[in-house]
Amino acid sequence: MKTHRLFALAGLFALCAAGAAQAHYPICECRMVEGETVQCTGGFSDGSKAPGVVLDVIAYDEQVLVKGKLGPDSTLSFQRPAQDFYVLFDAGPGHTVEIEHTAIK
Amino acid sequence: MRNDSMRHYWQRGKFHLSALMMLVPLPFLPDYFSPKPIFVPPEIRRDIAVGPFPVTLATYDEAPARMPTGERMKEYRIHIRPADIDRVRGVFLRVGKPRSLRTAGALAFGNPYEREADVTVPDELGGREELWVTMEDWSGGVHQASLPLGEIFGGKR
Repeated sequence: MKTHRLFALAGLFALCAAGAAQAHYPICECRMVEGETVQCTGGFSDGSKAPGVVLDVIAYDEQVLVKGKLGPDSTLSFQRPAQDFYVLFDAGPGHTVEIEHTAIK
Repeated sequence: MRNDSMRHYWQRGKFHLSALMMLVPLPFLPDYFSPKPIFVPPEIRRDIAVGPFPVTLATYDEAPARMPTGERMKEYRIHIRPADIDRVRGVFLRVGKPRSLRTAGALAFGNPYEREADVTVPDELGGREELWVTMEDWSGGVHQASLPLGEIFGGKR
């Protein structure tokens, strides 16, 4: 009898704990460090890092300027291109972040 | 004396009273079985043809949510015709025209009859933004369509 009640309580708790499923989405942040070097940090909204995930720097004419991957510390540094560009953090189809060059300060 | 007879009636009647309680849900039954929703969520719907696929976009009439990581996100639900479900490989949503297939935006996921996508919304909107829908079919074809974001945004503007 006691175990039954315990199971019922556990079941109730499991039902309440199952909140709305929120997909974890990629996040990326770029900023200027020392002179003309841009440093981008990628990750996911659940707090996990993204070492090895593709991060490309692409000109507005779709020419890929830097073809990179995040290092073990989940960052990538590159020289700031002279032309207009955007940073594409690409963790797979539908899991991308785009950062315009105007937003990198 | 009178108190005694009241108690007598109560003792006799309470069983029948509890049986009567079973009838309480009866007036609610027609609503319960009718196909119309009992609580209609305040939502916005728009029909749009993406290449050969007619789809319906739906979203709640509320402003985008500010995520803990700083960006604003809005949830959209995409209804595809049941006949098209096996033909559609993916549905992507993005505010602004995608530059390439890599930047097609948020990939819709979940129930194939009602896929949902969490779309990143820019912090500042000029009012002329468009919501772009990109659909990829299993033969590799890519179809795109757009509608003004203001039509399917919701919340206070």
